[in-house]
Amino acid sequence: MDELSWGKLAHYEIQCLMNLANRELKGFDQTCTLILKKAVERIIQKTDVTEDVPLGLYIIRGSDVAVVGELDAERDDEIDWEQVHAEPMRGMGAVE
Amino acid sequence: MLFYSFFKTLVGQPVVVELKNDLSIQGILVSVDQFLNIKLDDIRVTDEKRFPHMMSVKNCFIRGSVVRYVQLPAAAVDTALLQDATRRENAAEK
Amino acid sequence: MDSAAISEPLDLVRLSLDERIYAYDQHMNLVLSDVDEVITVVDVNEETFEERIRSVKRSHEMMFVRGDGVILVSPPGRT
Repeated sequence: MDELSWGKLAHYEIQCLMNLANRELKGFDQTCTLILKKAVERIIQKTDVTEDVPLGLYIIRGSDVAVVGELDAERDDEIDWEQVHAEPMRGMGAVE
Repeated sequence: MLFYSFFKTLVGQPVVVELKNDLSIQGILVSVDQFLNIKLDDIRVTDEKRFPHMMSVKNCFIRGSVVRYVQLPAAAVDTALLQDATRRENAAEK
Repeated sequence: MDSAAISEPLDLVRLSLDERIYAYDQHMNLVLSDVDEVITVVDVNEETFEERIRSVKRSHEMMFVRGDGVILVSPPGRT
């Protein structure tokens, strides 16, 4: 898994309709299973203000993962997330 | 293996990956693996108004199974070589 | 190309190789050029529930299409 080493990633995850912003990725495997420490779910809504829900330690099944990204903490702090709105995302359809 | 090898030749090129949930992410192709999982650097979501979720994300890993399309720079694709490789690969499988 | 040597469905895709398909595999992953994408959108009027169908067109010079979304490939020669 060298090529795709996610080693230093401090992390962000979007999965269908939910966003998870967190500080630490503790582990992962071949199938994309993720272990997140201090996970936070960021719920961006159509009209209501954005909610950051602390989740704690989470395991996410690989087959439900779409994207894993490295968060730019500075850029993230500059954004007034409460004022960010969006329609719910569509699902991925039948993903194997 | 054909498409894995093909994507490896495109490392360093700007691409746009469209996911099955309509989200389009543009960025520089960093790496690809046998599942066609993709890593992009310097990313930007094409329609940031509709999908503001990734505004503070600078690079990402995309699971191959959620990809619908990858838009490629035509100049970076050696079409003759690719056709040859396809013929060879499909002949070898029989 | 020996077009007579058709023994399995994917051989029909092979016939398209000289057209605008540059690569394919058993999953129906494809690399295409001069792509015209036509998206059919159904708008539902919120008051009358009337459905209006419209087409959105996009063009791409070169693209990879993941096979799990492919439903049909039309070989050349009958278009």
